[in-house]
Amino acid sequence: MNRARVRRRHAALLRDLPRPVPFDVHTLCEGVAARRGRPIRLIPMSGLTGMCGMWVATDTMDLVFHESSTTPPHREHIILHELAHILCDHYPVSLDPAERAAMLMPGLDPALVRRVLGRAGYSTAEEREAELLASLIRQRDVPSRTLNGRLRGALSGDGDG
Amino acid sequence: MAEELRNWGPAVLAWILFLTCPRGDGVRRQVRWVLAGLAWTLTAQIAFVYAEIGRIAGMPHAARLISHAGMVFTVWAAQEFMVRLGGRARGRRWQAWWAVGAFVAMCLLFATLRNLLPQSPRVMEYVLAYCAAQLPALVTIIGLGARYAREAEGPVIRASMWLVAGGAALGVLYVMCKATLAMSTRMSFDFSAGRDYVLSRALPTSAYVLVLLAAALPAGAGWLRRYRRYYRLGPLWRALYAADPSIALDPPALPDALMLGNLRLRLYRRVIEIRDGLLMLQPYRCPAASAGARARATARGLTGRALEAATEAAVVAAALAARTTGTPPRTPSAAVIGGADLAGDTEFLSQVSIAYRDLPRPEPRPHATHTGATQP
Repeated sequence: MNRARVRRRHAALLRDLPRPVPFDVHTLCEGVAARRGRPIRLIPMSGLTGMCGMWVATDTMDLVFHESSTTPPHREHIILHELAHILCDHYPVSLDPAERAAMLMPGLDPALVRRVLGRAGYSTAEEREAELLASLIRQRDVPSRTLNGRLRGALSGDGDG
Repeated sequence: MAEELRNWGPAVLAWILFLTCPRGDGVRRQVRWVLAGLAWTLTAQIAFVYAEIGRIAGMPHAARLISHAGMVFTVWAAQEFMVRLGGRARGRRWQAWWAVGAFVAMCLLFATLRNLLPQSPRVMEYVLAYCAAQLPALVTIIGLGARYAREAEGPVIRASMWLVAGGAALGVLYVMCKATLAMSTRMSFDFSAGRDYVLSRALPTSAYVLVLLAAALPAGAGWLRRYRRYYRLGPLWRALYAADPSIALDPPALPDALMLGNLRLRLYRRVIEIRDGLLMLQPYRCPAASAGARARATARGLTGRALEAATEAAVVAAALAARTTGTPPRTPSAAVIGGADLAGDTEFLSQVSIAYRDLPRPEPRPHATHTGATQP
């Protein structure tokens, strides 16, 4: 997909995305889940090997595993990356979904797993697109509730967002 | 030369600010509208442009109406911006209708003007409609500007709000002078001071410049702050990128010093990529190195955030060395130091990066074995 198409696609996705005030990634995920009619479960895990986040799509819900041993803004970004995969409706290129999911959740029935995408570098177009979209979601202007937040956001580009 | 500068300077500044102002919605969009309106108004007043518009439109003074339309729009947009800053969804509806009504009256009067001489029929009425279109909005801007200047945190934003209020106050003074001058000719009283350079030229230019400075000052300060932070994060980011280039979404195309645009996104990416790199290093972090680094930093008299940053920098350097020399990874510790929000984490990582840059480097060993980077 060329850059202009990706930009147009991102602009359309960002336009339709809920805008929680103040920004909160959990509220955002709840909003997206409500729109899609599929619950999104955020599951923190410590010491994920080789990746720091993973989206597992089952028949009934989306599971977002994310590294918990990092700072809150980084955790938030990892979740946004997986959410971006969900929004872009990405499919993995060369992964065995059941195997990857079994690594994280041995109790999960492999027959239920439909898709798995993990955040571990940007070697594929899907990973690059999800990473860029995650960054853009966090860069969106979020209306501030305070006068100083609004002043900073409008005049110096440093909103509360 | 001074007159050329007065003509071209504010217009060029307005265009630069408009073109570099980041797109956005809400109040940010209003800032762009104000800048676009000012750029439009000031450009139409430049003698060369003024003449060209007249030639193209077939009306010698068509640029006057175009410029005045831009000014009415600018003042309305500025008033709307100030009201929204206060948290309201929009400005008072009657003020928008007032501006529209006055502008319609201006257009109708302009269409009947034979020339723009002050004594000509309907010129005074046109000028009064133009002044009336702006006055309520200018008064609102002065009041809100002064209030926000008192309530704002930070000297730059406070100064910006005082500049807005000052620019609007000069605007009020100018439209009052303009209205008085227009009436003086028709009502036969003397107001020759209204034709002086100070009131007729310097006053409006000062008003424009104050408003443009109000936009330029915080935007420039914000840019400088982001540039400085981005630059400060460089040493740590480069070390982590050298260890594992896969942390970067886009490989660096230019030296940091030349990264001048899109700094908000670039800064965000740099923080995230550093955090990705630190996560990759977690299995190589050594608790003993951490304790030693903390003791050394404490001995140097460091406390609080500076102590944490110096310790973190030394631990990162040791982890990078361990990874390079092929030390087997261990079970990572769950404790992570950093900011609770993006601004706090950016500031902390900047401190770590500077501490990392200032670490004493070990002497190069000629027979050291390089095993290459491996994925954790």
